[in-house]
Amino acid sequence: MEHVIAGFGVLLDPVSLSVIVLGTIVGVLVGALPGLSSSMAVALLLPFTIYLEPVPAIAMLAALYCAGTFGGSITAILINAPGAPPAAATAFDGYPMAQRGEAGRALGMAAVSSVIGGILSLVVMVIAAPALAQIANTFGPPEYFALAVFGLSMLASISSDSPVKNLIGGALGLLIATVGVDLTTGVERFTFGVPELYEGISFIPVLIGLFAVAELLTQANAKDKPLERVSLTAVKLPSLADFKAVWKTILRSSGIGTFIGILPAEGSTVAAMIGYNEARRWSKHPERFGTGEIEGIAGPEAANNAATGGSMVPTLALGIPGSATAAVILGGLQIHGLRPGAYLFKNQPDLLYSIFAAMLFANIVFLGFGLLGARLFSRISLVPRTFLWPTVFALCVVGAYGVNQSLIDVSIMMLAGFIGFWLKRFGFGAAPIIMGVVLGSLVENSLAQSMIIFDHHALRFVERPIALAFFALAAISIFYKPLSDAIRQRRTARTSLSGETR
Amino acid sequence: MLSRWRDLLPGLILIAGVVALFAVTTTFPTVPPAFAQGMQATAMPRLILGVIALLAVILIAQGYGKSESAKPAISIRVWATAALLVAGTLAFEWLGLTLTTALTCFAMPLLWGERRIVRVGVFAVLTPLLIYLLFTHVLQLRLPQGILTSLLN
Repeated sequence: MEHVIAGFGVLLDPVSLSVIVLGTIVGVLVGALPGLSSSMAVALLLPFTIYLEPVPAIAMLAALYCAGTFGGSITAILINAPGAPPAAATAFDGYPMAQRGEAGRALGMAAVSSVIGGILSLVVMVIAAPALAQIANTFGPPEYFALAVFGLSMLASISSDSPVKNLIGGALGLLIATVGVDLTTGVERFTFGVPELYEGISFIPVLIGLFAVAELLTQANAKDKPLERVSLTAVKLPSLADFKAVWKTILRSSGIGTFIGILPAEGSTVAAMIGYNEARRWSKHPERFGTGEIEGIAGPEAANNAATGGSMVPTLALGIPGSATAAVILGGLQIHGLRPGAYLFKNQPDLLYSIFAAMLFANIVFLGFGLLGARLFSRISLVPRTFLWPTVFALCVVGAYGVNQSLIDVSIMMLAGFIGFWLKRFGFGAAPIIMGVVLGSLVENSLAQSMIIFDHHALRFVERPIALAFFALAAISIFYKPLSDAIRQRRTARTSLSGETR
Repeated sequence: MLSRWRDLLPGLILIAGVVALFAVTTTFPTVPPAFAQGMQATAMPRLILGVIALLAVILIAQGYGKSESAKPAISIRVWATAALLVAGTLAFEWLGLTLTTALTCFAMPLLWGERRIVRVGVFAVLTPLLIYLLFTHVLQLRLPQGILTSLLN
């Protein structure tokens, strides 16, 4: 109980409270801006959190994560331009509602569903994370290696054109993590004689380059299109009739979102899409979806915000990020010298409750923003791109330079940005690479330690049931979709063949 | 051929990169097994490179017979922006952060089609000024000021 009180104490400390409020406001603003995502915002803010104590720093990033996920719904509903990918499904019914003069009702439902989803997932987080960490306490290096492989394998099932590209992205991230002097052997790897690379490639410049600079170049190629803004008079809290119609949807989507969030690598976007599809599947009026159905807002909004709390569970308990933004927050934990897992809960018992308090507070604050300030926040999309992106670039440079006060980090950021731009053009996302970079040292160290334990016999992994279970899950996550697609194709071909012969 | 075989180009680039980096790993010295503690320094990079090569082959095989999806042409604005960013990075040490930011904030909006020159001018002055005040005087972060060092530090 004392840890709960101490954790909530973060809200009583003026500095901590200020940075949490700041994180929430920045989150809603960034979430509302098309092109800027919460992952990018967390990446840009991360270097500046170094000047904070670890607890308020992580609390601020967590608050930003929650608020950024909600912020996207404002522009999704008012201008049909989701500020962030998790809000894409909200636009399907939110914008049609706004077009017929119900923008206030849609925004009210989005805010309330988001808050309920977010809070329910936080309750799960605060119960599940320590329990999972306790289980993970029994893991040895082979189990951790298998767990990291499972985490990376889940990249195959996140939303993308090509699972193979996601897996390649994860492997590229692992490769980036090998740069520098190998601590065990003292051998330089891929440093090419550059002394600044001896300690490895700093995580933050890569992060900023892949998320922000690559997006800046993408935006340079985007055509200016005028956005049609729907007028908004006032945001309304859902009526009793609306709430009666959607409460089951909100609860279902909260469960789905939390579960999806807990799965490694799966984030709010996947949760929102599944939340939307399930809302339609269970609805009494599925035919109304896409034309401005209130359940079509409650479903994805509850799910995408529930995924934020869910994704913090494996991040804090196992050190395996639950989403791209959680990967960045995990990087933040590492930068602040915090090691996720049972150690974290033992050495920093207040941290979990501080994160819980910060995310809970962020949910309540953005409910206020959503209800009172949506009109103001929607105006953020009026900021011309011609001024927005040079400002983002200036922050990128300061952020990349600031961590180590190193000019080479600025060059690394630029290089990562250019590579990220080309990778994005060919359909490779930034998130899998970041996952790989974050998990790199865990994968290598746990494999090396496992090989010592197994006396260099890799097949002895099968003697460890937990490791074997993780490998089996990894195999399922990689091969399930291609195999089920192949079976479906074969069935379709057989059916059409038998139809022709008849 | 590239447009009629999806992902052939990225797949081939990846394989070429794998070959080049594998060659680099052959230059890594080998340490006595007692120091290696389980794995030589080459083991992990080679394992990852092997995985990337395998996945690149699968990527190429999956794309066979499928046409490449149409991508928007890269406009001159992208190349010009990239050149501006590179120039800014190269000039960073000499000009310092504040001046580089000012120049970038002036040039980029113009490059992206902004024609309200007074606004651009005000933006190019205020943005670096705010960054300078916030980071140098509030957060106490020493930013490199290049030729303006004597003036700003």
